[in-house]
Amino acid sequence: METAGKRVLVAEDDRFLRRACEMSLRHLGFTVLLAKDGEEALTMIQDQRPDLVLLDLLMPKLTGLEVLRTMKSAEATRSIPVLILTNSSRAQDIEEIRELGADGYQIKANLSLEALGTQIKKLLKD
Amino acid sequence: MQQLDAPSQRELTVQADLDIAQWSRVGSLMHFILLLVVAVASPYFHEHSRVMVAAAAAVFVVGVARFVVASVFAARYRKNPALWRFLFKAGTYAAAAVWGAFCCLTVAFYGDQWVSWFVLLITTGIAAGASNSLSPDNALARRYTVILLGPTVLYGSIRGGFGGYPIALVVGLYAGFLWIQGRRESEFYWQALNQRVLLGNKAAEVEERNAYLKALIEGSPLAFVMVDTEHRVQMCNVAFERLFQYQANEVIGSNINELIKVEDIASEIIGFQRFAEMGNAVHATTRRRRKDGTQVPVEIHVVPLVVEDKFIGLCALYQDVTERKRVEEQLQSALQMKSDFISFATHQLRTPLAGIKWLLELAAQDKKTSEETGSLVQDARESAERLIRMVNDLLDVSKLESGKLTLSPASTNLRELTQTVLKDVHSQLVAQKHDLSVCGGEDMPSVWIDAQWFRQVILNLVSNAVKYTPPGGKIRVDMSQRNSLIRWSIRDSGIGIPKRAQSQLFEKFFRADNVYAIETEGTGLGLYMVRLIMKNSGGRIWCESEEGKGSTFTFEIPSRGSC
Repeated sequence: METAGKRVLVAEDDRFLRRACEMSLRHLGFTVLLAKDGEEALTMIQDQRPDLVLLDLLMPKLTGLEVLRTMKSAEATRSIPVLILTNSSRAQDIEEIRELGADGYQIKANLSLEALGTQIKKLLKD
Repeated sequence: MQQLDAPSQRELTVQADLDIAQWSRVGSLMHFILLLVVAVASPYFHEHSRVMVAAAAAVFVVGVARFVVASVFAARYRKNPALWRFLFKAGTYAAAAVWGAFCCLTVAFYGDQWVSWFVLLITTGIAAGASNSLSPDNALARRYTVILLGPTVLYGSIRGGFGGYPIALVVGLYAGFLWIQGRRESEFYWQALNQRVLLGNKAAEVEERNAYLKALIEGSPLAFVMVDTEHRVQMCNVAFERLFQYQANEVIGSNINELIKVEDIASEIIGFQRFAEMGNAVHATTRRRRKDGTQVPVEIHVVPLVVEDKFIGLCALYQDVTERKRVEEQLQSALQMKSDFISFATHQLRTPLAGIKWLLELAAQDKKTSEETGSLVQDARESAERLIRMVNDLLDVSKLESGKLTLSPASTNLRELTQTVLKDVHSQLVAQKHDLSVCGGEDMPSVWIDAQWFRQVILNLVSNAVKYTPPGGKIRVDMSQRNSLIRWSIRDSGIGIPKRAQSQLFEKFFRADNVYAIETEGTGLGLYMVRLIMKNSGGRIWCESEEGKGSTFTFEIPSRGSC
């Protein structure tokens, strides 16, 4: 599998969701990096350059939108694909996500891990 | 103003009776005074004291009686007009008879001596005065003259000679003159009376109307002000004084726009003036300033005053809408709070729900678990899914209700959208062995709708049809276009909706009684959401159903903007 060994960063403050993501992605053969707040996520993105970022919006210290804005404005991290995972369906959030150049947007409660895996593979292939 | 009717005969008679009694009050006492004059100025009292005393007594009694009758006449008359008219007439005749007899006796005693002429002179004076004061009743005046002067004329004629004929002739001629003159005076009186009553009625009417209008304006809970063409205050009511804290005397003559002005009043006034001069009333909700400088939100009605085709000013009504504004704002903020709360709560609910959902998904992937545990996990997953759907529905409803939702319409093929939904529910259709057909819509133009929300509409309607139709039922979707309306309907052969439930069908959280036999997990939000989406997109939805036979749900949307 060509996606095997790829490094995926999961930035998520809820430990249960973090655990579920971690397990599921590991089963699929990914190397999983975990961040539990915005600052940690940004540091890891800058230091470790993961192949893909799963980004929650509502996180302590730095919000997902701020993380996204910073990484998209830096040359080094701009090209890393970002999939936003949130539970907010506020129209203005969605608009901003699109403008900042995220590669996808999903409501966590409406997404299965299986579908998440499929979407990650598709993003890594592109 | 309506034309006044001529005064009625009854009205005139009453007034004439009152007049005659009023005028006779002084006359009734005059007789006695004149008798005193005769007694003092002539040798009568020394020569015929008994006659004089008798005459005086008679004149006094009759005079006082008449004076009393005339005095209470006005107050008592209306209760019993016939009686009081009779009393008055009786008194008048009695007075004439007493004085007439006295005059006749005097002529008999003194012949052509100067005393006779003196008494005759006074008597003719009385006759003249009576002719005038009795003018309202010509017949009475004439009889009075005859009774007063008749005996003397009669006596003169009988006596004859130089002592009799000249007196009879002079007094007779004088009576004749009064006879004619009296009629003329009476005619004149009645003419004047007619005018007087007419004018009096008119004045009373005008006064009554003024009082009525004043009561109307003063009693009005709306602040009222009337201004001339230069916008100077002509009058205002108590409510105006109360609302703007001015006293009427402080504002009369002042320019209304200066008194209660706010910054942007100038443009408003120009607009009002333009409208008013065209004869139109103006309504506006705006603000005005009180005397103490505070502003008050008001609803204004300005009405032009046009009298006989001439624009003479404006009349304005002000309603204080402070309370209404406050309630509106409160309501708005309550609605906002409610919608904020629901969306916050649902976002917060979604995170642990996603956790349950994902962790159960992982648990289901574990091949090592027993079959029973596997089935439990599967049930737990379905349960979680249901909870997630409910939270999603609540969130959608709150968005639709708050009006925050902006539909993103796009050119959409309704038939394709329907097919997609049907594909999604295909497994349920097969499980239920339903016979499904789709008719029409092949050559229907695309419609300008929000595909995501309409997908929800169609899904809700199709799911209901599938759910509430016993296995092996018939479901048919029809699409058609008439003029600028697109019609979409779904008919099923299901359990139907009881008559009493049909009117509440599209209400929030409503569920008909007969659905509980089928399933208990519905939220009562599906059709409510459908209605909200329809309302937001200018369409309408309705249902026809018969319990036990099936239901048809139909929605209609305008095809405007279709391409």
